[in-house]
Amino acid sequence: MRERPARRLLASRSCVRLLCLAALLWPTLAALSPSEAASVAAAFVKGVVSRSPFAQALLPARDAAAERRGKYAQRIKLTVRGSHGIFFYEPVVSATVVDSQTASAEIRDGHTVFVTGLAPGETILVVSTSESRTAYAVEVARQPAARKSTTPQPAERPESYAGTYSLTFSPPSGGGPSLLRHTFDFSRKYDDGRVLRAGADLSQLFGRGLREFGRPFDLGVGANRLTLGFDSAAGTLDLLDSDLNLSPLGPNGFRLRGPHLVAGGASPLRGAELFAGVARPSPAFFDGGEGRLAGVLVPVVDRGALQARAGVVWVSPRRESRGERGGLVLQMDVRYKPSEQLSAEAEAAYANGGLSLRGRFDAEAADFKVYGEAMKVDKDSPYVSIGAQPGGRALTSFGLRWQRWQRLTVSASFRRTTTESPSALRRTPLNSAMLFASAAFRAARGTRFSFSLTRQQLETNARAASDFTWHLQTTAATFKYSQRLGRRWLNDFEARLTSNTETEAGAQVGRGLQIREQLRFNWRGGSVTGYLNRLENSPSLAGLLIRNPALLPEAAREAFEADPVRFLITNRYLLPQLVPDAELPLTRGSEVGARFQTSYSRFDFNGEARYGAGEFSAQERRDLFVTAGVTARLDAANTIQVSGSRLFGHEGVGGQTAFTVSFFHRFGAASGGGMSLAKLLGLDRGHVRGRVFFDLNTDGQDDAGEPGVAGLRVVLDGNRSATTDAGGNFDLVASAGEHTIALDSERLGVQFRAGSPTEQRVYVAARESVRLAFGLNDFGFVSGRVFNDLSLVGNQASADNTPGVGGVLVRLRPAAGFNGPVLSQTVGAGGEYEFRNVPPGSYTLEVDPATLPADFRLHAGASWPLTVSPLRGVFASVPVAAQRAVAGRVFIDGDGDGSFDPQRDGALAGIRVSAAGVETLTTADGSYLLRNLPAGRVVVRAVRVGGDSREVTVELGAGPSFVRNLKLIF
Amino acid sequence: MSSKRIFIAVTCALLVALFSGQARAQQTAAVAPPAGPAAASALGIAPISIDAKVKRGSTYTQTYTLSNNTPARLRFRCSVSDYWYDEQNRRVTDRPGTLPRSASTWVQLTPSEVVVEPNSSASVKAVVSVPLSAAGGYYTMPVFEATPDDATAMYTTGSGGTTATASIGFGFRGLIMLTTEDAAEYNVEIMDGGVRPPTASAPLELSLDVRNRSTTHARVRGSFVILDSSGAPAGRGRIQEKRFMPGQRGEYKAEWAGALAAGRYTAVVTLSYDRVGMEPATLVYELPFEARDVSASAANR
Repeated sequence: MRERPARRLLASRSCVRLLCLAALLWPTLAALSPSEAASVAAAFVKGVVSRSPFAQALLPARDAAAERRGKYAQRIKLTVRGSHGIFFYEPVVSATVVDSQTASAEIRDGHTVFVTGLAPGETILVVSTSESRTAYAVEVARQPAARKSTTPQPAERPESYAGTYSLTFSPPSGGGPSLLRHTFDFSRKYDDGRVLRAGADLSQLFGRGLREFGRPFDLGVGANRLTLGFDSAAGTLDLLDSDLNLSPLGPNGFRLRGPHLVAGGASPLRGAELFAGVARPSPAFFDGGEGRLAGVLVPVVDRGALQARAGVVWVSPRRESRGERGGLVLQMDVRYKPSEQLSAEAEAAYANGGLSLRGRFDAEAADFKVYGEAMKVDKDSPYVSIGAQPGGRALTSFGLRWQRWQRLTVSASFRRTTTESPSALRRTPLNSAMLFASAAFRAARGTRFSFSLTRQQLETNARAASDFTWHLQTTAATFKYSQRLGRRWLNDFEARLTSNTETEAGAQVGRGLQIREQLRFNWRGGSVTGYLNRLENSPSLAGLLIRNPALLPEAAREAFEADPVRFLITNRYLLPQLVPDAELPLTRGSEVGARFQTSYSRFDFNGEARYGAGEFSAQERRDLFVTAGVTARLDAANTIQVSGSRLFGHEGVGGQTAFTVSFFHRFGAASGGGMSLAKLLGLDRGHVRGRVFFDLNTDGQDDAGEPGVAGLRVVLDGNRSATTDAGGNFDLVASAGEHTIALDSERLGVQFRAGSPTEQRVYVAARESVRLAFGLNDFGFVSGRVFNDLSLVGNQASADNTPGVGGVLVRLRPAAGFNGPVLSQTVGAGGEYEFRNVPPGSYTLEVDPATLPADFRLHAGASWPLTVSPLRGVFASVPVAAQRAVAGRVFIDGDGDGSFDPQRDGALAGIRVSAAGVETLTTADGSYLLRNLPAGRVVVRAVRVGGDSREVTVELGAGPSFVRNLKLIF
Repeated sequence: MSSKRIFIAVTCALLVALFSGQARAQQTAAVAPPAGPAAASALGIAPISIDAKVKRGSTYTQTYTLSNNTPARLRFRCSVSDYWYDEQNRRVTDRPGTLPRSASTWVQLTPSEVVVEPNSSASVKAVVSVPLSAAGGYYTMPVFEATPDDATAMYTTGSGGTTATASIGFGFRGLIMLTTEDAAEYNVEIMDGGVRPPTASAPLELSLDVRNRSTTHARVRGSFVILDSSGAPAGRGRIQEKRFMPGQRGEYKAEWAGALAAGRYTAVVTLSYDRVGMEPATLVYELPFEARDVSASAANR
């Protein structure tokens, strides 16, 4: 009783510990799958049960029983020359390997046994310590050889050509025309290393929508991009379109249509660049700043870390109406990079009496990375005329990044830009300055936070006291949070707060809040993402007009387009009167949606549904947007993509549908480059046809007349199957290639026996069929022996150790109502017979009595019914009896001479004579005859009335015999 | 006359093969008379013994090659017989489907009869249909009975109005042992064991009572290490492999001819056997024994 409080305390402590342990392990346990949880529970229960008193009591007995039957030895697997160490707490006395050619054992430091493989094989290691002996089975395998292909492999040869072609078709939608777009990129590599490149991006609008549109689209084929070029070790030559990255002071990221040569490393003019053609700032067609450009830049210094180029570029703007002018530019750039941590570059361009300059450095030291850049572009530079810059510009920027720990990254940057219109234009220039600071923190695995603050200031660059000034200050704070939940879930959250203040007027002109939440679930085959976006924004009226100048009256619009900034500043108090009906375009909006992507086989699916509600362009608007697409990979080279979208407008906006079909082809892919539309149409497939048949003649061949087996399952590659029809036929569709066809039946080996392998490998060619057959039979057999029934028992039990009777004809006759041939066989010398391949059914086994040897007879009847089961044998032995007889006389030997004399001896009539169960009565002359006697020793006995008897023993052989004159004398 | 000569040659070849090669047939997979006039003549079957793992619900195919290097055409009659053991661990055979774990009724031999021309060979395919319900080991013995196919080789004599026909044939017996891949259970136990220490006239004899409670046969191979009372090795050896059929219990013996000084020893015996689909298992059994001074006892005698 006293122990109870203590036990209770212990129990409560145990419970507390258990709860604490459960709390600690809960995140792990919660993440377990059901099967893993079941395993853990089973292990826990097993642990508890094994520690129970009952289990502990049973343990010694169980161990003793196991000990008696031998313990299982631990198995050590080694490779040749590989070693394995075994540590023992007790001192090791000896370590003996049974086969010293297979492995060796060595004792080190008295407690460790090192066993080393010497040759492939298996042996036993017995380690004896001061306390016990332990045996190990040591398996030594060969060292894994380096993988070598046994079949000769063709020499590695890269594909000589590569590229892609895509064709996209969009049918008319929304009253517009159809669009056909071709994108083409091709390259061919020659043996000497040169590469020919060609490409195009062509589009064509056509169809009914084209005619119905008020302003027709451009007819014919529009060429967005045309490339033709060569690459080699000596350099790169482009004859049509190419990218031009000359200098941040000028055409950088331009698209040039014309010849363009860049000398490569193998050329004496390494680094030289020559070009001529029409250049535009970007691939965007609506960019107006384009012009003719020709130039040459050659390397003047090339000393490893220090490189310098100098050259001249001629610029001729196309749009003279804008007042911009071209000219000749003398240019030079120097780059210095003594190490990966430090680099610096400087450029200068001189033209039209003005000098443009740029300098930049990047440095990395300890936990810091810093950069700084300063640039001044002359307002009259010819580069300005082709859209490189809006005018003269001065740029100052620097940045800093600090990462002391892996988890925390802090960065800050500042950038200030001042602009100046070209001399020909009187535009009010706009200056800007931006300060950005951010900190990102990775809290734990899969969890990230970041906070950033951006402050931007836009202001007019007043050149005269009469010029109006305008200051717009924007502050934005952004918070991002990303959290991975388990292996499959990911959550992203972002909140952004913006505020615009016009400092000149002292008014807050815009404020916004944007919240974005996204939850993503992914698995091996795809992902699903749900999202929710909320936007609250109050833009200024000035911002509205910048985006929609058409809101202004015609006269005001011209002034606005001439100089938007000046117009807005000048008329900033008049804007509400100028645009009386305009409302701010976006005040609020919310949208919720989900998108998914997944793959199945060669198909990729994607789709999205999004519902939005809010105020857009001064209108309440709600709409539902649904899009879906599927991509089918026909093979390694060809892909077809179909996508469509539909916008369901509820208020203010009508529905709109779009549909696109695209085809992609990759040149030089493994499929051989063919357009394998055959796969899409199923033309790449073949058939595996065949039959499951009863192999009546057991030759394994599907011969004419052999019936089919219906209702059996034939499986292709373990997954697809077909069932045989009434004729035993099956038909499986299979892709071109090698396949395994298997007959799958639970009746195999039970009701059917296969005459050919039930699993066969076939090669299927496209649009062809392969035939194969599975032969089955269900035959049983009947066998036995015609034997000499020595003891005349008359059944099969007496067949053992009896001589056979040869030359007897036996027949197996189908029972009435069962069709089949009558089988007959003459038994051999030993009397054995066997009817093989007997269809299951009822039969009668017959023996032709006429073929029995002389003086042999059948016991009773000459036929026996029997039933043959599938795959089973019937053993029926036929007893036949040899005729053995004894004859003689019973008399009183009156003269005592031992022989019968009718004159002197008295014949005894009516005396009962018997032998081996056969009996008879003597005739008047005392004679008798006993037939059907068994083989062996037979006692012939005569009994008179009154009990007086006489007997004689005779030996009868296995064959027919007749013993005469056997006298029984009284 | 010529047919009589052929018959006599074939008969001689078969008799020589019967008496000289039958005992080896199970091991060597062929019967080849070693010497004599009939040495050039030989009959063969390959392979003789097959130990295969099979998938349930599928077929296992084995091709037998029947070789006839005699000058006579021979007709091979192909059949199967059951294979098992009796209480005295003697091999017994019986009609198909009558003995435990019989695979005989699953076997289809194609063709069931084949004539092999002189100095040539023929193939017979055995297709075994393994039922889905099979589990463990199954056994059957293909039997190939060769008889002269030439009608003139049948020697007929007339005697006293009766006719006797002499026909001499020879039977080859193979063995197919099948183990299902994923349904065999293994449990080999050492029931008892003993060591008879070496004497002046007899080697050390080590005997184990082994029972195979597996559902399939186990090929047991053994080894032993003799340790003296201090744990130092005094001898070691291997025990010849022996096959135990399912349920079979038998003696597993080894001899070691080395000498031991008088004292206490322990024989650590290991029995290893392969398991289909698993790594081999190794049983360890310890047999303590005491050796007497052999030289002293010999001297006393």
